[in-house]
Formats: sequence, C-alpha cells, structure tokens
Amino acid sequence: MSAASEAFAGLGHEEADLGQLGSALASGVLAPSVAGAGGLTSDLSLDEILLLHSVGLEPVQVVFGVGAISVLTGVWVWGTGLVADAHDAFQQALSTAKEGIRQQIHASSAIGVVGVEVEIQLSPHRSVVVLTGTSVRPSRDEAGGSHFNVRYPSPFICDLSARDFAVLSTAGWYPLDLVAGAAYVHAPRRGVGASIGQAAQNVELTNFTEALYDAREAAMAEMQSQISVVGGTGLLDAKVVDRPVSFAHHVVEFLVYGTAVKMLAPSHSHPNLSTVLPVDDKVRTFEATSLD
Amino acid sequence: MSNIPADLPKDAAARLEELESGMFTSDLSVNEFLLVKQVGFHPLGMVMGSSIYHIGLQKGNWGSSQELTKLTAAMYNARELAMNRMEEEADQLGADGVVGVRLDVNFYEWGHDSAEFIAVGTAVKAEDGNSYRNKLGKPFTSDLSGQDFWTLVQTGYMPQALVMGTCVYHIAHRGLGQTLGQVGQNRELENFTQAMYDARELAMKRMQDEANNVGASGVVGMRLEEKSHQWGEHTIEFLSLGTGVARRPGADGVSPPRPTTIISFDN
Repeated sequence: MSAASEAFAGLGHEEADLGQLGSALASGVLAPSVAGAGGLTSDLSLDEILLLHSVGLEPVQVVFGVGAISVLTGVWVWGTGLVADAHDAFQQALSTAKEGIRQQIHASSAIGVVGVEVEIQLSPHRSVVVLTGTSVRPSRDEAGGSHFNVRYPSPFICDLSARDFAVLSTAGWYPLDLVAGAAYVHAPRRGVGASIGQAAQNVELTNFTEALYDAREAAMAEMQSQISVVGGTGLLDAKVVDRPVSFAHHVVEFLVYGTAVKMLAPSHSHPNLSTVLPVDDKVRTFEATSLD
Repeated sequence: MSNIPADLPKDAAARLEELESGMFTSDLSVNEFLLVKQVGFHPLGMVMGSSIYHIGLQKGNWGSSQELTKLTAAMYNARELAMNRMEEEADQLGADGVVGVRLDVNFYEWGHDSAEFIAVGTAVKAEDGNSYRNKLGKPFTSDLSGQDFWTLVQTGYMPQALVMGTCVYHIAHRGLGQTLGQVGQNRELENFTQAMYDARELAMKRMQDEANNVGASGVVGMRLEEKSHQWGEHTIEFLSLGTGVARRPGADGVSPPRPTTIISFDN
C-alpha cells in the first residue's frame, strides 16, 4: 500500500484525497495482485461462501470504487426546476466508482461483484459515491469445470447479498448492474400572501407536490432507462431516499437505486418451500464488550 | 394514452407506459420477489403517490379533552390523496393489487405545519389472467410484506384494501388544584385514561368502517400508532392501520399449511 500513501502525501483536504484515491484506483495502483491463487479476501460470512459454492461460484477479493465529483455551491441557492449540475455530478461519481471496481476485477478471472455496499454522500461542494463488495468467479470442481454456466458479457455489479444472489439464481434470474436515478429539484417558494392566507387552513401545497413529482419522475425515468441499457427486465430491492437536502431546505432530493435483473434461464423456477416453526429459545451469546 | 387519470403528472404517464412494455421495478427483496411469484403474481412496477399538505390550525381547549376535527380531516385528506394517486398509478399499469405499501408522513423544514404524505408499494398482476381487484373494482392494496402475502394466500384469503382510521385528539391538561390535591398519592388519572380510550376507539371504529366498505371480513397485521407530530404533548394522532382481507371465492377447502417444527443450529 506504499503507492497509496505516496498518492496521499502532501494533500491537505479531503476532496483532494478522494480524487487522488479515485485516480489511483482507476490506474490500478491499488489493485492487489490476483495472479496467485492464495490472494483471497472477502467480507462474506462462511454461510455465504458455502452458498456461493452451491451455485458454482467462489469469492476472489474485496473490491471497491470511489467517485468524488465537485458541485458548484451556488446551484443550491438559486434556480428553478432540476439542479442539473448536482445530478450530473452524482451520475459521474457513480460511474467513476463502478469503473473503479471494474478496473480492479479486470485483471482477475472474476465475473462480477456481489454484496456491494453503497455509500452516497452529498455535500454542498461534492457528490461522493463509494462502492465496496466482493468479486466472485466460477469455482472449479474435481473435473476442473464449473457448474456456473452463465456467461456475462461484462462484469456484473449488484448490491444484492451473496445469499440473495444464490437464491435468485436458483430461480433462474441473475443480476446485471447497479442502477440509480437521482434528481434534485428546487421547490418554488410560496408567496407571502399565499402563506398568510392559508395559515389556518387545510390545503394541499400543490407547488411542492409538483416539485416532488418532478424529482421522482426524473429519477425513476433515468433509472428505468439505465435498466434498458444494460438489458435488464426488472429491478429488485429498490432503495428510495426522498427528503429535502439538509443544507438547502428548498431543494428536494429523490434518489433511487437497486439492482437490475434479468431472467436468463428458459423459465422461472419456483423454489421448494416448506413452512417451519423454530422451537429454539433465544440464544444467549457471550459479549466480550460486557467485560469492561 | 387517453385513459390516463388527469390527476397524474405527464411524466408519470410516460414512465408507466415504459413499464407496460414488460420491464418491472420493485422495492421487493429477493425473497419477497420469489414468494410473490410463487403464489402466481408478477411485479409490474414500483408505484407511488404523494401529497405535500399544509395542515390547518386548531387549538384544543386547555382544560378539555376533545377531537380536533380539522386536524383529523387534514390527516385523512392528505393520506387519501397519496393513496389515491398510488392506486391510480397501479390502475394505469393494469395491476390487480399493490403489495408492501408503506404509508409515511415526513415533516419538512421548509414550511411550518406542512408535511409530505407518501404511499409507496409494488404493483402486482396475477399470472393466471384472473382479476383479483377488490369489490370497488380497484387494485387491492396491502401493507403486508411479500412473506406475509404468501402466507395469507396459503390460507385462502386475499387482501382487499389497506384500511386506516385516524383521530387527532386533544387531551386535557389537569388543573392546578387537581394536581396539587393528588401529590403523593397513588391514583389513576382518569381523565387521561378516558381520553386515550376515546381517541383509540374513534380511530379503530373508522378503520373498521373502511374495512366494511370494501367487503373485508377481517383486518390483519393491524397496528395502532400514536404520534404527536409537531403539535406538542397534549395533541396526539391515533392512527390505526391494517390490511382488510376476505376469503377468496372457491377457496373453501383450503387450509393453511402445517409448519414443521425445527430446532435450528443457528448462532
């Protein structure tokens, strides 16, 4: 990791650090050597590794990608409608982070990344996306082959856990890519007259509702078009963030992301279910932290 | 498209048309997705409705317990706007129902007494071609998770509608004399108890009326929430929420699966 420390040397503030880290990743400086078979790292539990093996995959290494793109502070204060600059910064940060991951797994025989943890931070000056996950590759059985027989044209990135990946694939569906839509919309300020006139009344604030709808529609439409681009037919486990931007109260943020999926088997296969009733009592676990 | 409800924004209609072409979006987890598929439903799209609403002013009398009807009306009206818009989106997709509905209220800092009421869920359609809409001809709505939906269908019941009842109630303050007279004693504060009872009863009664309207024979997954929102300690909203269910026609012989008891080696 000496290359990384050199890259950070002499940089005074966080933004430069992140930018530097991003480019270090992109150029492959930080990517560990994966030529040796012994270099396995993973943040998966033992159960998840077993489950992956059951569908013919094995973990390769922990990979991560960072994208940090600056935003002009002024865009939060003035304007109407969509804040295009903030939107562009987010999408650029996301694709930089995804590219960083793809660069890291490019050198290895990995076919994709599971269990990606998505961290999205928005500050007045920048939009940051950090992705961390475990890359996986087909495992070899005794005969030297693998029973994972799906061929991905390019590495997949999914925020579904390894467990979810295994369960989904037994039904014939596979993740394709992490997709996201974001929109920031200036909510129009109400006139003083309107505010005073409505102070005591029950009334829908249609201008705010419309701003929120604009944000939502822009974000959802963008995400749907990303699903089309990667050839997905669906989106699972969508996460939605819907709130006023903390440092600009008149700007509404609508952020949605999830994993685009596609059925690659000839047909959906239903898992065999049985209902069970666990009869164990709650297990008491020993906590080392209680010693102090 | 001519059959788009006028209430929906233009962009929403365009996005929903794209979904009609076969792509789906959903906030179902992988487990929920597989369970919903298992009972013969396919997700169509994530549907949403929201309304940003200014809640009027009404002050309760300091010393009396009473319903604040104007605030109750606001909470009802705004939630209904959000729910109706979500149902319209589901209707537009040709859905049979909406599962996993979340009904939230977010108070924003941009305006006093303004809140966003939001309803989000995943629209689903039956793969067998039958209609599972409710008695009113609308897609059923339900706040049951995919797991609970699967279990409910196993018992021969289908969700009809997410039903709710709300009541904003002002609970009287106790007079100074009353407070002083009771210092040091063990006793029930009857006026508080009575007020809480009244408010809960009103909320639950309203929820049951909604359930009757859609022809539900029961309400499952019911919960009662008490929130003061931004009104101070003595003004409380009592909200009861649940999924109204009715037996599916032709499901008379269906009995729920008997679970196998297991002792797991987890942990």
